[in-house]
Parts: sequence; C-alpha cells; structure tokens
Amino acid sequence: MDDNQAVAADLSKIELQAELLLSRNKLQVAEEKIMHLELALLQSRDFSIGTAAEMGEMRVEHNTIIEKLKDANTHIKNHLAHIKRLEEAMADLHRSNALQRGQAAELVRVYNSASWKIGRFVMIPVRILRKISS
Amino acid sequence: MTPLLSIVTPVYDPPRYAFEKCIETVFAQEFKDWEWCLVDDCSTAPWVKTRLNELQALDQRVKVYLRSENGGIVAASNDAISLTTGEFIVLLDNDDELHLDALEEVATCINANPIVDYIYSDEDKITEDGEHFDEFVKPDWSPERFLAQNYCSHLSVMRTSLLNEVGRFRNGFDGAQDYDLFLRITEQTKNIVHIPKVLYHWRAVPGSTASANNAKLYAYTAAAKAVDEHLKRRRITAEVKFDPALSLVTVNRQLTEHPKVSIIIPTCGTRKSIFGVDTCLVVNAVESVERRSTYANFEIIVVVDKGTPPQVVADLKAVCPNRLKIIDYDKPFNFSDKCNIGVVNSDAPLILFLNDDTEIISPDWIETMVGHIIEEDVAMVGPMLLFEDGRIQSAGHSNTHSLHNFCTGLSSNIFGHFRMLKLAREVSGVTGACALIKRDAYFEVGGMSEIYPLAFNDCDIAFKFLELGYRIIWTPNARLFHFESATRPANVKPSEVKLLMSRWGRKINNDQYCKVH
Repeated sequence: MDDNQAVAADLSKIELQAELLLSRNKLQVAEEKIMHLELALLQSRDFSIGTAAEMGEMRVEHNTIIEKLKDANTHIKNHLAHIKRLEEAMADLHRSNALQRGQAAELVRVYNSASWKIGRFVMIPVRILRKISS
Repeated sequence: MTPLLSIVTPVYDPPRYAFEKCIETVFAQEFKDWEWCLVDDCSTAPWVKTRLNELQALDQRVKVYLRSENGGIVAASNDAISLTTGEFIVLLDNDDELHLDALEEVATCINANPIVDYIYSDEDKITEDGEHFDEFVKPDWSPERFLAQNYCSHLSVMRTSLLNEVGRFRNGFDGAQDYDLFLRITEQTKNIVHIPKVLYHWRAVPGSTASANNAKLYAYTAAAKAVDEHLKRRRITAEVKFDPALSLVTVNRQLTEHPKVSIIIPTCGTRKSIFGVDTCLVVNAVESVERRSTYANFEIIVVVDKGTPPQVVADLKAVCPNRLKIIDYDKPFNFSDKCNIGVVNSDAPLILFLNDDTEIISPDWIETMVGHIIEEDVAMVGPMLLFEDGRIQSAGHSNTHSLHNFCTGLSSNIFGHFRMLKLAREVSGVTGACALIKRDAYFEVGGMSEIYPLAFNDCDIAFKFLELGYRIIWTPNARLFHFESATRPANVKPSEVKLLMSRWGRKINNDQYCKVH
C-alpha cells in the first residue's frame, strides 16, 4: 500500500464515521419525534375516552334531570288542579255570599214594611202575656 | 314471559326439622311457576320416602324419584336434573332454605337479562335454631376470585341447555361437584349475573361445610382438582394447591415466557427516615428491586425532576449499573406526564409503575404480577402494599361509599370479608404506587391522563380500563412496603374530585367487585 492509498483509506474511514454520526443524529431526532408523537397519541386517546366518559355522565345527569322534570311537571299539574279547586270553592263562596246578602236585604225590607210593623203592634198584648206567664 | 324454574334437590337422610323448613320455604315462594324435582338417594330413615310421596301427592309440581341404591350426591343430582322440564335449574340442598322472594328475584333477573346463562346471589348461614349469621356480600362475576373459592355457591341458577351441554355433575369431585360444574359452565359463557341480595340460607348443621370450613377436607381436595382441570382446559400452566389454613385454593401460575418489564419510577430525589435511618427513597427503591427481584428480564427507568441532587443520580447508577435508564424531566410537576414520558422511553410489552417510596418484600413480586397480566383481558395488576409498621396501606381500590384504598390501616394478618385479603381477585383499581400495566392496553386508553397532575390518575386509568372491558387484578402474593405516611392528610383538591366525578361519577359508590366497606 503506497502513501496515497493509505490517505484515501483514512479519508473514507473519516467520511464513513461522519456519515455514521449524522445517521445516529438523524435516528435520535426520529426517535424523539416518535416519542412526541406517542405522547400526543396518548393525550388524544385520553381526551377521546375522557370526553366519551363525560358524555356518559352527562347522559346520566340528563336522564336524572328529565326524571326530575317529569316529577316537577306532575307536581305543577297537581298544583294547578288544586288552584282550580280553590278558585271553584271561592266562586261558590262568592255565590253564597251574594245570596246571603240578598236575603239580608230582603229581611231588612221585611222589617221595615208597614205590614211587619202593624203585625208587631197587634201582637204586643200577646208578647206581654207570654212574658208574665214565663 | 315467566320462565319455568326447576328446583333440583338430592335427598339423603336430612335432619327432619331442616327438611320440613326447606319444604316450607319452597311452598311459600311468591313466584309460583316452579317445579321441584327431588331424588332420594336411598335414605336409611324410613320417614324420608313417606314424606316425599306425601309431597308428590300434595302438589303436582313436585316430582319425586326414589333411587334403589345409594349412588352419591352426583348421581342423585343428575337423576333429579333428568326429571326437570324447566328452562332454568335452581340448586337447593335438602337442609337449606330459600328466601321467600328467591324465585321471584330470579325470574325478574331472567326477564331483565334474557340471554343470562348463570345467576348467583348473596347468601347467609342459618343455625339449627333458625338464627341467621355470616352474610356473604359477594362481588359481581369475579373469575380470578372464583379460582380461589367457590364464592358463587348458593343460590345458583343455570340455563338447563347449558348444564346439559357441559355434561351435568361429574363423578370424582364429591364435595366440590358444584364448584366443578360452575367452573365448566363459566368457561362456556359470559352471561353471568349476580343478584346482590341474600336469597339462600345455608344451614350450618354439625358436620356440614357451612358449619366448619375444615369439616369436609375431602371437599377442598376435590376443589383443587376442579380448579386444576379448569386451568388445564384453559391452557394455563399453574401449580394448584389447597391451603387448609385459609380454606382456599391457591393458584401459582408458572410462566412459560418472561416478557420484558420496564419499571418506571418518577422521582425528585426525596429523602425520608425509613426504619429510623435517613434514606434517599429512590435509591432505596431501586436497590431493593435490583437486589431482591428474582425476575431477570427487566429494566428500570427513573424519570428525574430538574433540581434532583446529582448525587442521587450518581448513587442510582452505582446501585443499578446495568439496566438503569435516567430520563430528565424539566417541566412543571405532573405525575401523569412523568409516567407517560417514562413509557414512551421504554419498549417493553409490560410497564410497571413504582413509587420511589417503596421497597420490595416478595422476591417473586414481578413473576406473581406477570402471571396475572398475561391473561388476555387483564390490563392492570397491583400488589399488597404495607406501611412501614406492617399495616395495610392498600389492598386495591374500593369505590364503595367513596374512593379509597381498601382496608388501609388494618393489620395485614386479617383475612377480610370471606378471606378476600388472602386471595387474588378482581378490583376496580389499584394504586399507582405499584401497578403493572400492559403497554398495548396503556396506549389503547391514552395512558395516564395529564388532567390529573397529582391525585386520581390511577383511579382514572383504572376506570378507563374497566370501561373498555378489561379486568384489574389485586394480589396479596406480591408484597411491598409503601413508605407513605400513615397519617398523611388527604391532600386532594376539590377541583380534582370534581374532575374525577365529571368523568366517572356513576362508578363511585357502585363498585362491582368490592361491595363491603
């Protein structure tokens, strides 16, 4: 082997080493990228599973609310029926009040009439006798 | 449509008072669409045959067959099954009692789940004097627990066609013939429903299995045999034994493969006094993993916060020179993010998250947990964690009443409700302080959620696994110390609770595997 050949071999060895180093660096970069991608993948999957679980929770809550709403509606209906019954009772009361007022006026009119007064005057001796006998 | 329920009762010399109570509870059922198939296995007491004939004459729903020779409980039960015409079989022993609503509850359950194949309920025991005790609050279908104990037992109801398909009761399992049958049935179906009500009263007469766990040792030998055969059919290699001290079947899975495990430890190099000695927690944890673990194929990835003393990193490298990877973390504290970064820096199929304030007790802790996680539908496995003083720190998670570590603060010697602290079982979650997770499952659910930087990240990922149909196993056979302060205040922010509730509120106080507090 002459000197030129030895130098050429050394050069190619250095080139190969440099190439190897470059490849190793590239590999390291690629590995880091893979790791980042794997982390991103983990996060994405966690997000999707977590969101699905949250939706499940919301569905349960939604169903609970619907049930509560149904109960509330029933309660409101019962309440409205009760109010209606109260209103009817009040109307009845008003009607009987009006009737009573009419009857009271009629009574006043009777008491003030001449025939009632004459009747009472005619009956005075009878009332006196009743008081004495009692 | 109400199903016809066929009650199956093999009869052999029952105590007369108990048999009369049994008859009383069947005839008093609210649900009327039943038939009762009784087979006398050649009882020696003459009154038995007379009484059975009386019953048959009394009600046309009663079918009686008198065997000419004693064939044992398996033969008698199978003969009784042959008499049935109903869509479902209800098993009732000749000295036990049904709750008055038992059949009604079963019929309601069948109507609500038309494809159900196997139903079981809670049960209690009853003394000769009729006093109830020992109520067994059971989990929903828990196959791992079922390998250790026949917890389904009474009341059991199964679809007749499936019962016939699996070959009814088998000889050679006397005393555990029902366990063997249930194992074969549950291999064939996933349509299994638990009715969380006491529908069966198991009479504790002297010598019965109900009265003393060691009254029928032969039954436990048969139970171990049933489990062994079950595992063989499922092609699971395991050493199956019966533990007489615990009255449990123990299953020790033998690993045929040893997949690589990446142990991920997030740390900031905290020091604490352990057993009276000032210790760097993470160095202690790594050292104990390195020195005590018998599992060979693992690496340790320590995710180190910026600001961790350089000496800590140097010490870590010294105690674990060959399989340690240090990952620097220079973002604001987020436990979940640190875990995720640890995972993406590993390539192992199994990930084991470990807090830096832990120390290994069981040398085979990794093997034990790997043994469970290799099952296809298991995503997460956790061990028994103990405080420094030996009390329980966590025996899995429980969501009953509130989210908490199950049995925290109790002695590690206690057995728990029906020995649930001494057997591997399904749980709703395990603490992130030590959790083995399948990498694929971890990626499938999106890993640890970064919206929980401190608390509840382990609960959240467990709920995600459950949501996708995975099982989570807790085992008492892997034990570690967790040097968390036993008096640590619950450092949970209301916003974190709100966040968890927004995702998983419906799962809180609705724990399918742990219904006892």
